[in-house]
Amino acid sequence: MNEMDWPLYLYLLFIFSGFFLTTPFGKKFSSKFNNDQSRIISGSLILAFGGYLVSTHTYYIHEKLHEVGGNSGCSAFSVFNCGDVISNGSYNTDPFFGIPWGVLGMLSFATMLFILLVLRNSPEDPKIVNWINALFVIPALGMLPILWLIYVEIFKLGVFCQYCTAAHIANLFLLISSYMIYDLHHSGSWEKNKNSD
Amino acid sequence: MRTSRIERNESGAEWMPAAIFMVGLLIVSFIFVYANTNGVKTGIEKGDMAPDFTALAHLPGNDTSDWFSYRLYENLDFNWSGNHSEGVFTIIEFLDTDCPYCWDTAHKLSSLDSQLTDYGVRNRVQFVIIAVQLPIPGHVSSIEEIVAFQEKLPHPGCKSDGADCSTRPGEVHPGVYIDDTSNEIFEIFGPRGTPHYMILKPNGIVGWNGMTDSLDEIGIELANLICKDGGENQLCNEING
Repeated sequence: MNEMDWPLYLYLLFIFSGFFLTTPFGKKFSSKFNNDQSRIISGSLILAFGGYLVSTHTYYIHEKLHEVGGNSGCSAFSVFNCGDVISNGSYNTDPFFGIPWGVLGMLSFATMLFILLVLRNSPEDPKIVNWINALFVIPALGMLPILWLIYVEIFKLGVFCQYCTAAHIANLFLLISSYMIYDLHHSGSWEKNKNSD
Repeated sequence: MRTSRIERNESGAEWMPAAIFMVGLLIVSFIFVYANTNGVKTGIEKGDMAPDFTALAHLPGNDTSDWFSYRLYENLDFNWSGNHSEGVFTIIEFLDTDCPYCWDTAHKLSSLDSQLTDYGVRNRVQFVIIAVQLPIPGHVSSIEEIVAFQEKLPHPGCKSDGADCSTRPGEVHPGVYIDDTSNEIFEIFGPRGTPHYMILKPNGIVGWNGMTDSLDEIGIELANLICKDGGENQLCNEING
């Protein structure tokens, strides 16, 4: 990685700080939030936004690589090389519809952002459990292609795309944080009033 | 008269603002990406970027065992100005040394080569011939057979062992022969069969996908591409009047 990767550091800042806020360590900032529910949802929002940004960047790299004579714009630092991963026509799109992985990431994180905003704005919704379940299912399903892509990076290509890896981390963190929200609701601690302490 | 009234469900989720925000964010993101990139689809149709490959290559005159690594993209000019009167165009042919249609049309490349020389534009064209081994009974190729087909050397295995390679129509083929007996390049490009002819512009964009060139148009299409923006040579003078 080199100086060209500064956007990656920004995205990682979003991802890790968001996740940090959702964990018990984030309770240090409890005074900034009405309750734990608000803290976890807010942290997840920051985390999902970081995932969305890094997915958009991945798609940007994908399109850049498809310019005539395009190169990766990423570092060619040993095992981290977006160019070799995203330019590989055999693995850079989903095998069913040929959609670039970056676009799928964008849609996935956008959907999770949407659900998190609904949870934040309407905790009193009687059907809130459906939204919570959906929030948990999306990153869980996302782990399937992620595991396959990691397999491809390790065993087929031998290089990693740092932007893809950041998106994978964001999805994993969202899976954990969405489970926290799921657990919060099923333990009966769900606050229906978004302003309650 | 009965009347009904639709009442707002006050206890429902406030999802509309979130939906508007997310759709807006997605639209802005896609506009940003499209505004800052100029991606070209990879493929073999006209306007596509030809896929890259790296494989072993053989030049006519070299020893049968003298093969070297050849990468297509290293032989293109990605900084080509777009002016068709300059730059080197690439003719690609997929062939199988055991394919009877490839045998019958084998004179095409050498005839094109001599015509380009006669018109003084031979330096504007490079030939890349990709020798595949189609999964058809009787199609068994080898390095020796490929070189024999390229250079018209004595070898009994051409045309499914039906002809000696030295009797192939046409002259010694110009340009490089690529060993694709594994069919890896063939599968990446995805032509329907052999022979398959294509012309790439100097930057690798497909200018013409002639498939089997059953109408024998490759010479005309190549001339039209080379002379599209004029040019001071006999060929373009004839084409453009």
